[in-house]
Amino acid sequence: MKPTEFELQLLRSAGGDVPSTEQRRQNRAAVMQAAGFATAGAGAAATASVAKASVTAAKSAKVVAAGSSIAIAKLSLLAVVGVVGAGGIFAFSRHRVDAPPASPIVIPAPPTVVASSSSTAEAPASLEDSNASRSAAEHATSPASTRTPRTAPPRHELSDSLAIETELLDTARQCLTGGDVTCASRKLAEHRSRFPRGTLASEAALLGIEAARASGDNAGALRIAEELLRLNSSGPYARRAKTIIDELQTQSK
Amino acid sequence: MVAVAHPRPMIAADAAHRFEALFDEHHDVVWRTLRRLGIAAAEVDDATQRVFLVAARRLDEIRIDEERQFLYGIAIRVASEIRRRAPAPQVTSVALLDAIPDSAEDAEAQLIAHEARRALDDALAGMPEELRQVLVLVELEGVPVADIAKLLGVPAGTAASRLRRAREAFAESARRVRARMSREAR
Repeated sequence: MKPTEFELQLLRSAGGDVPSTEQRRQNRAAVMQAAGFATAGAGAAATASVAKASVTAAKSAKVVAAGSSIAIAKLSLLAVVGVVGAGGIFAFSRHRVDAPPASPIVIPAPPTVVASSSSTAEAPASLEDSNASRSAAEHATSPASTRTPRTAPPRHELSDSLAIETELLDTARQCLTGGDVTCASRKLAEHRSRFPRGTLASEAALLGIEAARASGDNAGALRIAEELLRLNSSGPYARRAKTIIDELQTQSK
Repeated sequence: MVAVAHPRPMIAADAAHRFEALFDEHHDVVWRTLRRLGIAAAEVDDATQRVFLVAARRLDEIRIDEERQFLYGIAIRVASEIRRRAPAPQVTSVALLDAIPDSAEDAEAQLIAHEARRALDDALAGMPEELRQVLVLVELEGVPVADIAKLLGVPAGTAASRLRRAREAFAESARRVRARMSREAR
């Protein structure tokens, strides 16, 4: 089926849609800071980004109010876990995980990332010359590229919450790596409590699986892995969940 | 004692340098892909940050020559999550106000580009999400179908079939958009 010129025009138009230099700079500063990579320069840039975002947000208050919320998608993943008691002990449905691990565990290997393939035999031909298309997409510039952002979400809120989420999960991972499941469980419980719909909910679930396995609670780990798979039908998380499920089912035989 | 199968974590400085390079090389591609996957202009910066934050946390899992594919996978997931929320807000009026051109020539060019992209987004919005993902990645980003199959966790034959259906759906959706534009132009 040959595409019409109208279709090709639409597809070509995508190449001109690029973020502005300012958007790129702000995103870079915010992510570097949230990820804990912030240098002095990045920190200053992030601060400037926050100030600018606030000004722009005030100018377009209606739009920001309607569209800039960083409320995360309803990942009910962590519904399978809960906080038990005032001590904040993390539990997986019916099983407490504050017992020491019964045996050494191996933290599952990361999911296999898509391997680049030179085989295009199965790939139908592109709608138009792929080089031309890609070149336009990669290199096209737009007058908008030098303009300021059109709208500005409250990026400082995102950065703050992501920074806290990141810190909690990093600590939980360190605890797990050190064999301290109780410590990891506390941090995961705190993450669950503070960020029930957190950006890193799937990351937290993976750590939860590891914590459950470390405590010998394979049934709990399996439940979380199945929930993770239900919420991520494809992609790296799905592959990771499938691997874990296969391992757990093999172990149970 | 926990035996860790992860690669040895990179030291912080190396990780920061690698992440900076990854961000600088792939930021615009991720941003653009998110837009075409249906993320509104008002949300695309936040969505882009989310993608790269996940990448930062999993940096030691990302193979050097597979960074873009990894980011595509995260972008698809982030876009799906955001699109499952309330419908995206309409920000066209403000976007246009902010994009007031400096000259009449710029104005015409921008208007044409803006209308074309709006029509593209309308056409993409009329497609099922799974088909839209394939069309955007193959036709706009040039990702090989074999890689799409791995990204989406489906057999190669399924990915190829999905691309064929995606092209048909896009053609149909583009026809509807064109018809609507023709009506509006009268």
